[in-house]
Amino acid sequence: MELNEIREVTRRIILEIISSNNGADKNPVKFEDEDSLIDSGIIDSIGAVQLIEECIQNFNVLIHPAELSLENFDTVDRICQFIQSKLVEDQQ
Amino acid sequence: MNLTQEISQVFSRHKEKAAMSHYVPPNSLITLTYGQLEERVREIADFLLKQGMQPGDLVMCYMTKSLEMVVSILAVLLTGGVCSSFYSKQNPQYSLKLFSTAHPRFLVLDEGTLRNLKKLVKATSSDNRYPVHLEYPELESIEIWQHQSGKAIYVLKYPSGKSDCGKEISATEHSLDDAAWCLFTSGSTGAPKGVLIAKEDLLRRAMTEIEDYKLTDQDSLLSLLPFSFDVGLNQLLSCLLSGAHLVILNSWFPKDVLTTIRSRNITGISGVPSIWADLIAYPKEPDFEQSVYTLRYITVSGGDLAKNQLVQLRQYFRDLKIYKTYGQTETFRSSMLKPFDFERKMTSVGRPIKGTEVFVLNDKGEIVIPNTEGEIAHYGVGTMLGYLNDSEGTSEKLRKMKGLGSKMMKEEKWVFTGDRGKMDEEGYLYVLGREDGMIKTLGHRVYPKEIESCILEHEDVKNAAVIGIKDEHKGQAIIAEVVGDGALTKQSLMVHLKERLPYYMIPDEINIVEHLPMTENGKIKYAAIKERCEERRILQDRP
Repeated sequence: MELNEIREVTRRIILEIISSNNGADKNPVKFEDEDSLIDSGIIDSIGAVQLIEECIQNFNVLIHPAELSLENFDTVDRICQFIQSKLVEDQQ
Repeated sequence: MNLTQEISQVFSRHKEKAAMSHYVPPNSLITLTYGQLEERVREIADFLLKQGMQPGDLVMCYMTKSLEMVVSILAVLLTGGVCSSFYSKQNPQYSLKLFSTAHPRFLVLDEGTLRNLKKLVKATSSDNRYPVHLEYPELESIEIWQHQSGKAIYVLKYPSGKSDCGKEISATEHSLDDAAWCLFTSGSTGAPKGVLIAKEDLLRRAMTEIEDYKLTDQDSLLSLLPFSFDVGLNQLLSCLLSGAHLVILNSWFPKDVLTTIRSRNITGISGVPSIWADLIAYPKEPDFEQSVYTLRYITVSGGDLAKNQLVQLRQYFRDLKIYKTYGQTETFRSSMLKPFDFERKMTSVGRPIKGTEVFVLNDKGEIVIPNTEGEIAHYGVGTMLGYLNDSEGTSEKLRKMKGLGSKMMKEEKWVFTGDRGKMDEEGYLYVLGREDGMIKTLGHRVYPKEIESCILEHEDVKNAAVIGIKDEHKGQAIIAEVVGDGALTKQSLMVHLKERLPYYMIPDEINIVEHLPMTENGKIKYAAIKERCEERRILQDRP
């Protein structure tokens, strides 16, 4: 999977989580790829759990508990980098 | 000394020392010394005073947990206002309910919540259901951060007169001038309730905690809980008043928690059960013992863990002190299980803390003999002033009594907690459940009625009952049994609820049923529903 495609899927997952947790909000919060999602409160702790489950399903990767951290999941950029490294790891 | 004087003294005594940090692992850290903190607090305080803030004015900090939020909170306390904060992740409809309950004079916002609020105003301008005067505020913003990582703080001011409707604490001899804080709690009538805390009491609570956890200016405490929650708020104030260092972390991922302990030399953590449940399930790293060696104590607050989890927690953190605390928003902290009792009395919530008296009472209001079940009543430190604008609720919860206990010669106000409990011969308290079925989930206190009334707003719903059943992870899981009209689907009900309730009130399970078990008086038999849900769970868990 190309980085652009990963980015697109990640953004869609996040938008769905935000809008479902805000009551199917039609105009969800705008965020940039480098914006903090969890630390800034855009995504809450339940949303963070959803985010990880969606990543596992959509990208078909295994995520170890030790990989769950702000370092890997706080921004779209970081999520993409992390997922890409996981996909490369799986191929090898 | 009063709270304001105590805060001022800490500021001047520890000028050069680290006061507050916001940490985003692995490498983003912003720290303010007490001197820098004071400078910013005074700036916001001056701004509020210039805007005409009066003692007793309610100021709501609607912000993401951050250094800016701490600065705003302290500014309100220093200017004699009544501060209130609520969870920034709260969904818009629920935020509106809180605004309309509170009628704040000022709203303090950050960029994110300001954006949310603007959306809220747009979405509700044609909606008359909520008597909120959001369309009036004059927006004033103030930039308080000079350095690069600076974030703006925004202040919304409501025209005078608008807030007067919120200025009463009925059914008590107090006025809002005596209050320092208003904590919101899920109300039994379906609307959130504002619990008012006296200025002296807020100080006493912090001082009690400093003594119990033996806090000194050498401590670094990890702040994981929101300031809208009494335990999180008290950690902030006790940390500040002892001159210690508070490290804010907005993540409950075990890895982030452990990284923060290690890299910031954390000595104490106030936590809720779900944080510890996640952590004991997390594989220990090889250098674990060394990496958490600075940690002195942790607390299990806002609910309890199952006995096997408490045992695991003890094994996970071998050398540190574990405190268990018990209380509710209206009483703050009634009892505490201290570390030296942990092994022996693990399933109890300990004994009344200094400055409180706690009794278990029967239906006639008499103290029961040891090991007999009854309602838990609380007197002393932590007792609320009353509910904001709810005299009926206040007189129901706060009752005057005399003749209880050894020192009780004159009439005093007691909080009737609504919790069922018993006390053993040694005075250790055991909490058994709620009189009215209140659910404790993920550290939040939720009344079933609040969820039920929301379910009943769905056009296809005829009747509904909500109960909590034991859940290893969340404390309690929320189950809704719903009678529909045939067109009802679980999906449409879920969408409906997510639009209106905060995440922690969303049922874990919805069962559409033919009818609910009822008494002859037409009351729902909650015990019967609970029984049948628990049976179903046991069946599901079988391999």
